[in-house]
Amino acid sequence: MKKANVLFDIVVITISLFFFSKTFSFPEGIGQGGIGPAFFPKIILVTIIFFCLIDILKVILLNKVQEEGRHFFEGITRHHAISFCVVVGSMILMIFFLGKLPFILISIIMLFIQFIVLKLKVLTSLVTAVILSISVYLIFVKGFSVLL
Amino acid sequence: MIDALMQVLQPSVFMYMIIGVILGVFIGALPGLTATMGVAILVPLTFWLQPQEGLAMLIAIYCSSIFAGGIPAILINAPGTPASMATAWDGYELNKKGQTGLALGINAIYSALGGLVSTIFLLVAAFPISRVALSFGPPEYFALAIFGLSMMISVSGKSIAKGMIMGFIGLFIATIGLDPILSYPRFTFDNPNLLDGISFIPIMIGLFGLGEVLSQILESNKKEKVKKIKVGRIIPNKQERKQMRKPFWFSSALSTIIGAIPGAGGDIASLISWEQSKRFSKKKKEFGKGSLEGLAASSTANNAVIGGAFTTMLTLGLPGDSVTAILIGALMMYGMQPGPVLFTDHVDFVYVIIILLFIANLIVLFVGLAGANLFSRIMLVKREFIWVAVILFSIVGAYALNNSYFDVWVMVVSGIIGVILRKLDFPLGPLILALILGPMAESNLRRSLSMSLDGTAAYFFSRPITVTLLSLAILSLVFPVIKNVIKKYKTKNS
Repeated sequence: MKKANVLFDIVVITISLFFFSKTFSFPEGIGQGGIGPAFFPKIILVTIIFFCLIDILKVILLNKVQEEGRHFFEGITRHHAISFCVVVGSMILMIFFLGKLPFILISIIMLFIQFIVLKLKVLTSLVTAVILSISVYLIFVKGFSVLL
Repeated sequence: MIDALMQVLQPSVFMYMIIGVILGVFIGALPGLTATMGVAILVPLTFWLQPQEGLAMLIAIYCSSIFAGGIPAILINAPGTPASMATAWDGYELNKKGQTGLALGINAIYSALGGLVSTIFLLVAAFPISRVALSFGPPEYFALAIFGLSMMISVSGKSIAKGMIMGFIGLFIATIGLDPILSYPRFTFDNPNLLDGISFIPIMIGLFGLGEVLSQILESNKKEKVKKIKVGRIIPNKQERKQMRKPFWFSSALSTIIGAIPGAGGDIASLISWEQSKRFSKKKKEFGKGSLEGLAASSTANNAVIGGAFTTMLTLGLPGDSVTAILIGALMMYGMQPGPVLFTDHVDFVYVIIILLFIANLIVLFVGLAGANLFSRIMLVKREFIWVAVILFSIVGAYALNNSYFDVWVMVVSGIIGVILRKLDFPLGPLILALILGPMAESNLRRSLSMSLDGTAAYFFSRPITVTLLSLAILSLVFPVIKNVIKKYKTKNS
């Protein structure tokens, strides 16, 4: 967890520095005590960097990591990882095809894939995927006129 | 009041309330699904309903899921929601002693009674507080937001640094979009979707709905074995009721106050109430071993938090807990701004909410007692079905808010980030607080400085309410740090 924690903090610091550099292009605040659109984001970003550094120092120097010895991927089996990737992948594909293909079709496919990868029986998965997709379609599209 | 009653006494309102209770009981009874998740994914669905119908459903989900969290805590020693952690300590012990029905009955009765007492507090306290809050100007609102933000530390969990990082990330996200005073686009990268800022509800759906489900998929390894059981006697007898009277009143009062503190939720209230009830009990040794007093204290605390949280939310616009944070978003969606203005512009709606809370708690009582035999069967539902349903509702719900694919992507990214944050033990509470209070703090600070003659911060110190609130903010920032240092010092010495 130590490495993952430090890596996360470094990513946050890098992103914060990038956004901080963007604040220099914001206009000055006139008649507001010198406070313009950049004032608040600047303070926030500096504070984020400050606390990330504290967190890194805490992890590295003091060696005080919560749940010491716990690995980031601990408790995640190969099956869990595959399930996670398939679920996220199928979800992203569904969102990508939303509006391009009929909602019921892509919803049934996504739900069926997810049920199968989560080790549910084929027939149960298919029936549940169809019922759930049609129910959501009727509630949102027919009931609330959402353009899906 | 009569108008509000007429609005609530509609068949459709009751129908949505019953749907909400059923969903809430499912959400609460299944370990891993929380009230926050349930409310977050169903907010978009209520967007299409009348405000009183939508809120009836959301309030019913809130009240019933918090109560239902105690069911798996009693039956399988697995709290359904974090707020029911203390319920497991005595409830499960009672179950093992064969008093399952009594434990389920006490959970239902005292959850409902706790909810009703805190709703009475809301009814009594909300109007005077809102009258005081009506005199607030930008400096007071700024100080109020800072006071709310200072609670970031208390909801930071194990690491204050991590809590602060999350809180300030939330504040930063709130600055994206048009600047509140000059309307200058900040961090929008010429993307029109970002001009209005990043919508708060898709982030909540992502963090608490999708993120929670993905985390469970990634780490699910234990399956609680649930058996159908005969529950037996449900209603406590006169002697038992007498025994539980003191912890009930004590827990109701304490938890309502805790609920009113921004950021402090049912989990904190439940633990504190249980501990304090133990301290004042004559039968201290029974606590944790099937004590009726302990169970009554924790069950009462769960739902007594709700009235307190609603008081802060409705009168000051500050979220009492994560669910009320989402409800603030829901009220805004209906065109209402929580805070003192709500009491002048939509006073009838304040009464609607209070009446809905009363009815929801009464339904909890009825469902809790009538459904005791069914509860063990709810937990037979495979979690995989719920996970996939939550994913579908998260996608459609995020899209339906504004018919925007951008919101769906925001939800997905928030969900994936939520998984990483959970793995790294970064608390999500401070992020929510900051997302809501960030815009309030910034716009009111800048308005205040525009109002002051010399444009300096000295203006804030000329106003007594502002000084009080800022002092309280400093106290709540410093106190946990000092407490931490003392605790570490004591541990070292011992």
